[in-house]
Amino acid sequence: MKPLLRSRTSRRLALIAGLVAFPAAPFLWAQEAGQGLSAEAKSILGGPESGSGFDADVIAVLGPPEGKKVPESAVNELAKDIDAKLRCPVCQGVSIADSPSGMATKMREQVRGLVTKGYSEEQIISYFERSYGEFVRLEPPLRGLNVMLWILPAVVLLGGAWFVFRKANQPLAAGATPGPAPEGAPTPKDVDPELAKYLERIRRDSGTSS
Amino acid sequence: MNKGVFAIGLAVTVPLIGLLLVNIDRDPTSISSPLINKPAPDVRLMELSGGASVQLSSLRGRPAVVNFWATWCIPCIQEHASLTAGARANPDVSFLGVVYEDTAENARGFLAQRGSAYPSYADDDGKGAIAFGVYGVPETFFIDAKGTIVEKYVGPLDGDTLRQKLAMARR
Repeated sequence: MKPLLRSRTSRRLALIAGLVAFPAAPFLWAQEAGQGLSAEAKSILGGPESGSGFDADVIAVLGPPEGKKVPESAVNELAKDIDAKLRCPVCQGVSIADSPSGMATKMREQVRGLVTKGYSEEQIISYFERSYGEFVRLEPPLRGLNVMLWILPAVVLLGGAWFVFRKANQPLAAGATPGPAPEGAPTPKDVDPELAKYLERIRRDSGTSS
Repeated sequence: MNKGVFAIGLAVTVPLIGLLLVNIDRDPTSISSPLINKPAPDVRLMELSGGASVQLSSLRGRPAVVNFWATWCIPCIQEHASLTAGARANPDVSFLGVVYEDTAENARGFLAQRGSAYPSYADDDGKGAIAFGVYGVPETFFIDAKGTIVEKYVGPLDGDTLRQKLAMARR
């Protein structure tokens, strides 16, 4: 089922279907998007003027780094992975890894900086999510209403398949027989008079009479 | 007609039409900022002259207006006079400009030519714009005295809109 969801159109259709199925969706959605990230742990690292090279805003939003210490050689690769998951806010459906825009370049630099400081992938993405919302995630996370995006197309497809299967295998009602061909229904001869002599020959050869 | 099919058809189309009607005058390109009613990002910005820097949290205690702008942005030129007049008329509010995707040199030239009533800051690494979730310029954030973002305005501000939004920040 997964490849079905790879295209943007099918995701959009799935979203529309989800919204149709759940009239309460916009409210749930708003709640989901409104979840705040707590401004805490400023004190842990000594506040904004600690001079430890930490950005006051990053500390206020994320607290201390929770990721593993990344060796210098692996920083680029990890940063690239994260870049591919962040949507470029000034582009059309492109990750910051794929955009040459100034904004994307600056976001990539910031991702790299945060990786170097030891922030985890989830922390880094949530930092951008604080300001841009869930929109900044190129892959909608599998939680809340978004689950519908993944499940609904499969449900609809399986439902359709079940319906068709049931219809196709429906037994005839008790006592019913397939009726005779309606009067004047065309036979192969009517369709193509040339065919008649070949049909005749086949019947003769195979020993069946017409 | 098959009643079941009719019911399914209604169940699908009625909510869809409802959804269309509800959202008919919504701008699909505008995404509301998740920062509204949240603390303003505590970014550090460098003065255009390259000297001093300001930590945004140090402005708490009075309302603030943070305007992202650029010299290449035509609507920013349009709103410049309103913002300058607004800053002069409201000395109790901290106005600050943040230069977006532009050089300090361009910005200094622009302000020298058109006049200014409040400081503008460089944001060379883009951290300010990223923290505020800026999509383009002009974007203006209204922050109350407690440091909470009360409103985000996208597009050129005129005097009336500015007054109205300032009233929200003062509340």
